[in-house]
Amino acid sequence: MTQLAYLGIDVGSISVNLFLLGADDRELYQSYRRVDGDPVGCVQGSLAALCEAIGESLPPVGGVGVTGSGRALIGAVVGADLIKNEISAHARAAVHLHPEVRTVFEIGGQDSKVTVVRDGVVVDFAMNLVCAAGTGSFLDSQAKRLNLSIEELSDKAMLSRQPTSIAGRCTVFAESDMIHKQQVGHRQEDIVMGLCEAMARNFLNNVCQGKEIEGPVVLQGGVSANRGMRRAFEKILDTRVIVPQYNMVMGAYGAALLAAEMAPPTSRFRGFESALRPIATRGFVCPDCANQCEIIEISDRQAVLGRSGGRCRKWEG
Amino acid sequence: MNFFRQHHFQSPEPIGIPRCLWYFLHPGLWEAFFCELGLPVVQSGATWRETIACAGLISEAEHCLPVKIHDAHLHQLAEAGVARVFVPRVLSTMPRHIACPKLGALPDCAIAQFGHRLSVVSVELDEARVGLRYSLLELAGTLGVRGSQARAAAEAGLAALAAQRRRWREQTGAMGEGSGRRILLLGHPYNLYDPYVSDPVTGKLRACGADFSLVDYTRSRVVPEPLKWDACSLMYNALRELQPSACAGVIQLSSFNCGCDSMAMEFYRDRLKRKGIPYMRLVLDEYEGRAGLDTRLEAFVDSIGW
Repeated sequence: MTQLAYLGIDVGSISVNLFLLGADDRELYQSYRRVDGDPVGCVQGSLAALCEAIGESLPPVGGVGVTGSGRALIGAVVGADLIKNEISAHARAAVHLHPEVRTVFEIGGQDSKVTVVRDGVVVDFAMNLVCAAGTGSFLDSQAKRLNLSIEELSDKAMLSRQPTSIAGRCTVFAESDMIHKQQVGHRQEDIVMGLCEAMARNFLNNVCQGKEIEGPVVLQGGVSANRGMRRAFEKILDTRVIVPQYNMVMGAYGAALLAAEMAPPTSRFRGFESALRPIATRGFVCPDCANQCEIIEISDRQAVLGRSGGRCRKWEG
Repeated sequence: MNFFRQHHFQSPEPIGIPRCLWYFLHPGLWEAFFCELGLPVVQSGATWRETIACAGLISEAEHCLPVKIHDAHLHQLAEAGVARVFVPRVLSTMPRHIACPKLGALPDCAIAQFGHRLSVVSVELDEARVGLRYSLLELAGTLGVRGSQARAAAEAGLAALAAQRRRWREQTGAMGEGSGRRILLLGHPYNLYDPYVSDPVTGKLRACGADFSLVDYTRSRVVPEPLKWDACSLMYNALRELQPSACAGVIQLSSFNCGCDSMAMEFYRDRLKRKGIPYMRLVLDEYEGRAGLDTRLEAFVDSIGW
């Protein structure tokens, strides 16, 4: 019998991540690609890259799971068997790799989340609200200010021996405080590590407020690539912080695991060829009530794939 | 200077009732009451998309969502040519408790913002000290009606209120009624019972196949609890009665910037933690972004194993 592969797609605000899961939990392929404002194009680009990389040896796809904030639209474009919220997908992946985990921190570009896990089951969670101070975009903007790439920032943070204390309540205040600290002569690596600690404190104060944070903690999402963050969390929480194997693509990995678990008898996946056909989107105003909701309809040349929008949800799916 | 102009019954000028905020505390009451006084009533339409858009334009950015929506309803009434509106000054809705102190200034805010277009009819409702019936008689007096007609109007109003509350209770279904475990939705009546405001949550829960009940405001009674705020105290009391066997989880709908809720939530969280019932707080504002809300609700429904 042919071995099936399961595809996970995580459509986030900053990146689209793919994970192709083979038999025996084997990683066949993973990718991380910036969205740059075009989620459909980005997913199609990622899928095309996957086909190119694996080519002939690509096993038949047994199921597709889609997660992330763009899951509904992309789920319709590719023909997903399973559309899962990112909290459940991330937790699934963390528990699979580290069954002993009790807390998952997932920090991406615009979203940050904490998920409390007990005995492998999600018991509580929280997401950041309007403020981006505890997310990747905070570090992004401060790194730009220091003229460092994120990788350099990560390396620098590890050199620090005396992290500078930075008021990190909000990006604007952090920036002015950071400039002040530069001017009074703090070393750059200490400032960088101070930023990581400020961001970790932000995250713990804003997002984790009232949650039972216990180790071991799994740290994942784009920000986990910064080793200074892991160091900062370990210092503040005084507990073990694990950055898992697939730290950058855990959402996609979780979606693939969930699709494999579901093992649909026949997948709704439209196939790589169809999924790569040009997609047209069209907006119209629903005439059925006074709310005049804007409905988005997506189609390829052959058929309407799905609709979304509208408060009453009658156009969904 | 008395901003609240006296109105005389001789010229029955219609009275506008904003269909938001305190309207959901006393559903049905005011229409019946004014009607019995012989005053034509004009209601603003139900909250919809344009209401929210209007609120964003005309209301002070720092207000909470219900006050913004209230401003938009007053605006709508003024645009419709209504010359006077009814805005109660709610100080307390039950014995030994106070209402949100900020909302106590609502008639003053209405005058400040709409005084040039609308005259504001108001009455102080302080049920910690004065019964609702007495306040209704006082309001009738302000409008120049006394004696048996005022008493009849008060009776008609209270009867309509009781009837409407009964209907709501039948519609929403109380906790513990029917079969299976349910989610309990907490929230101030003006958020929970305004369909447009609560729909992103209730609609999503329905789409997820989750059963839920709204916290019941119809059984108001004195509860010896540490919370002085009436609605918060009622919510806290509702949590006290919850059984994990009947309740799968509690979701609180809260307006962005709500001071009462931000202070009371620790009480809810603590009580529910002791009972082992999952709890989640959702913050509502005037922005349409529903993605975050949907994700939280889906994950919550997942986590309670629906």
